[in-house]
Amino acid sequence: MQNTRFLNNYKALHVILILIFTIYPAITSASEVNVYSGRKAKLIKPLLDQFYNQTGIKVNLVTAKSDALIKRIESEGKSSPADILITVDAGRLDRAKKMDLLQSLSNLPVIKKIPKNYIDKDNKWIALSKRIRTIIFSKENTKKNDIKNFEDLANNEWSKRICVRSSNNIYNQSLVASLIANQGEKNAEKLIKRVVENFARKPSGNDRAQIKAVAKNDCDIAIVNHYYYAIMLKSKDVAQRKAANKVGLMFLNQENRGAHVNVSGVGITKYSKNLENARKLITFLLNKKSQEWYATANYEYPVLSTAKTNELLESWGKVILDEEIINQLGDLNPNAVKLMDRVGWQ
Amino acid sequence: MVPFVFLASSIFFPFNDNWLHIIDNVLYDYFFNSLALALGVGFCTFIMGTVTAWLTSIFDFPFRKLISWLLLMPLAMPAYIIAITYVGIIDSFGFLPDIRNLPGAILMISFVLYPYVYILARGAFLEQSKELYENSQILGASQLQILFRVSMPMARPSIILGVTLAAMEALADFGTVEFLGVPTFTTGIFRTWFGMNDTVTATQMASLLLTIVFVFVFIEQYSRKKVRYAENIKTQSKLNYKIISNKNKFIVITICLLPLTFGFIIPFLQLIYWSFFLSNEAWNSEFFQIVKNTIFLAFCSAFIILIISVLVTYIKRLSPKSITNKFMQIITLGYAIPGPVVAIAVLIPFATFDNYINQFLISKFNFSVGLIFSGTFFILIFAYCIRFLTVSSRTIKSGLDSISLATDDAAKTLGANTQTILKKIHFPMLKTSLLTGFLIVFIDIMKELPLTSILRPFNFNTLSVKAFELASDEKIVDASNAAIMIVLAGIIPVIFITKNILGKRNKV
Repeated sequence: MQNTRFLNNYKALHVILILIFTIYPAITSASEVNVYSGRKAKLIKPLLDQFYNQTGIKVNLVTAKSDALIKRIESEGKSSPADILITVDAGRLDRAKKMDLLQSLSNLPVIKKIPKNYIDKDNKWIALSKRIRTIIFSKENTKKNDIKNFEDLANNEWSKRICVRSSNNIYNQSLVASLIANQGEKNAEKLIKRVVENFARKPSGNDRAQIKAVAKNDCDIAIVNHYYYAIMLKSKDVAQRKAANKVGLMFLNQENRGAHVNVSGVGITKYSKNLENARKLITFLLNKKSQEWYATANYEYPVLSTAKTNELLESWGKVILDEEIINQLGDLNPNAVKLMDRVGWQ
Repeated sequence: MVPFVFLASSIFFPFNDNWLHIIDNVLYDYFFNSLALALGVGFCTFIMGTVTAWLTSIFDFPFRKLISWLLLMPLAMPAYIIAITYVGIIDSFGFLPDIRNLPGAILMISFVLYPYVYILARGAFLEQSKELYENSQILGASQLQILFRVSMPMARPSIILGVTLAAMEALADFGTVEFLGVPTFTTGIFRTWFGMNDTVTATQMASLLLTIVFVFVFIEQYSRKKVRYAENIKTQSKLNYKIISNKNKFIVITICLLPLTFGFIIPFLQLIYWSFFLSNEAWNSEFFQIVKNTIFLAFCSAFIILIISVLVTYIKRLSPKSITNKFMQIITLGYAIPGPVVAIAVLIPFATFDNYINQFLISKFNFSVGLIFSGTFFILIFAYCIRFLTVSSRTIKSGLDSISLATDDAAKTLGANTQTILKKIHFPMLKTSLLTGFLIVFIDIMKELPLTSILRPFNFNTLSVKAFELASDEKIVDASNAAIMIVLAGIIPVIFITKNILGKRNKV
């Protein structure tokens, strides 16, 4: 008897909760657009606020890991409130597309301004910025000419001299996916196996930690995304600037396919309920001013060719990029992960 | 229950080729590292927690009160933050040993999790009666003998509980081990999900992890099945703090300061340094809105979880053989499941349910209510329940177990019904356990990350999300403000609650 009384209380609690939370979603304004973003709030929110100031369209934002957001859109199905998905790598956008979560952007005028390699081949997503995987080298122990192509990292002379983060990281996964796309899985595996044998230590830490390791002479070269080096060079922290100044940055494969590049990008969800606003927001994100802000906020390269690149990045010169395979990175990502497991890249 | 059925049902999906790949290449590493991590963290937290709890509950020394609540503070430090902080410190002093390995990960996680053991063991030590202690002394036992042969065995359920919680949280940890380069079961689960885009195998791995945890917990519970840990004589006469020589005072203080210094003072000072000198983040109104959100959410959720835990534990006490009780046993293992897995396990059933409602409403009334459960705070708090029910219900259970059933029977003989017993007898006696459970859950939710980030409604930001976004973007310096606020917000309940626990013993 007494037990049931407890259970009744428990039920009552549920009813109250349900009532409260039913009212909550009902209080939403008419002119708005809902964004699920894998890009960090700090690197996108200011731009969304500007969009609101210009158009009066309210932007609602949730940020989390892209994979989790994709899963959320999938399970929310037709009722999903999400209009726009932003991710920080092409593979994830491709995954959302393959799961049939995105709709075509083909009649969006702005996509004509963007180079074709930065748009999905079925027009389901469009890139917003470029991020390049580069080599950081010790100015003391390495000369810029010692290394030209990613393939050189497999040579014996780099034995115990390379630092890189764990293969759990998407940047490394898409780097390996790009090698599979370019050379086929067998050749890529042979190459990566030898590169892994040249690692100076077990992969740990983030990209910045690898740059610091080169500055400390723990290793002579590191594989990192270009913007971390830029951020360190511009850091308020003297120690970070000092470390960054001890090392140099270089782009690989400049005389052939180009350096490995990944993108952050955006798509409109299949069941978007604020379609017009979503289209307006994407058009806004791809205008010259937004592109310049979006790219510079994180020292990335804009995709819009008329947008100015940040001065520091500009000073590194023109870069040839491995752009043609961007569309394949998503498909090859699982292969890349397994390949890295097989060759022991932790 | 639904999320657990969902997890378990994953076993019935066909096992695909990715399993072969995992078994061939990485499973051994995952298994070994996870086991070593859980055992290592269990051992370290046991030592740090029990020793400090014993010293602060037996001896009198200067700053005892201050130290005894400061010892809880590491709990408010997210483990990945202290790992990043220490790597930062070690990088600037070349001579320190590298922590980017398994022992390093064990140490980092133990430094922030030993308070589980500390708070529970201390609660248990303080509950032990004066008579027991004095009788042991009369029988000629030394301080250490009393500790090992009387106090510790009496406190065993509490200590084991603390150690289990710490080990479970270590198993579910992602941020710390990933940063320190230790591949574990949990990093493997995410690698399979995110990297190989294989949610089925990822959930199957999570189920396997859960099964292993279940076996361990079951063995431990079975080993003390026949023993009930209740003192027959509960007296109000609590032990007085023992006065010790100055030299011993110094030793005691030093020992207590060790985990405190490494788990809290050093990383906290480093965070303050970053925050004041290098951070680009402003302490503006937006930031304080986030602080308010965090505290409000953590407070409400912890309160709801506490109420549910009381119900769950009572069902167990009143009818230990019921099926509900068996289910509850499983539910309270949620702590060992990595957050993102809990997130999908609650998201999929609720979102499906929401879609049914909407389809029904649209077909009947051409009207849609949107996501009632899955897009709101409901699902977030529900997910917190799944994850943290373990903590509070086990804390309350260990308190409840120390009240002997004879007490209940005596009360019943005197005509009290279940509710009166709860109100008049159990509640006052359980105050410590209830407060402890609330405190741990409150702080845990404040620093909880994956569930909050994945399941939160639009435009709702919390401190842990902010700290993690900045830290994972390699801006640990900018993350310092948010990390400091998590700690500061944690201090308030810590002081309040330790006051309540502290009020128990009189100084001579």
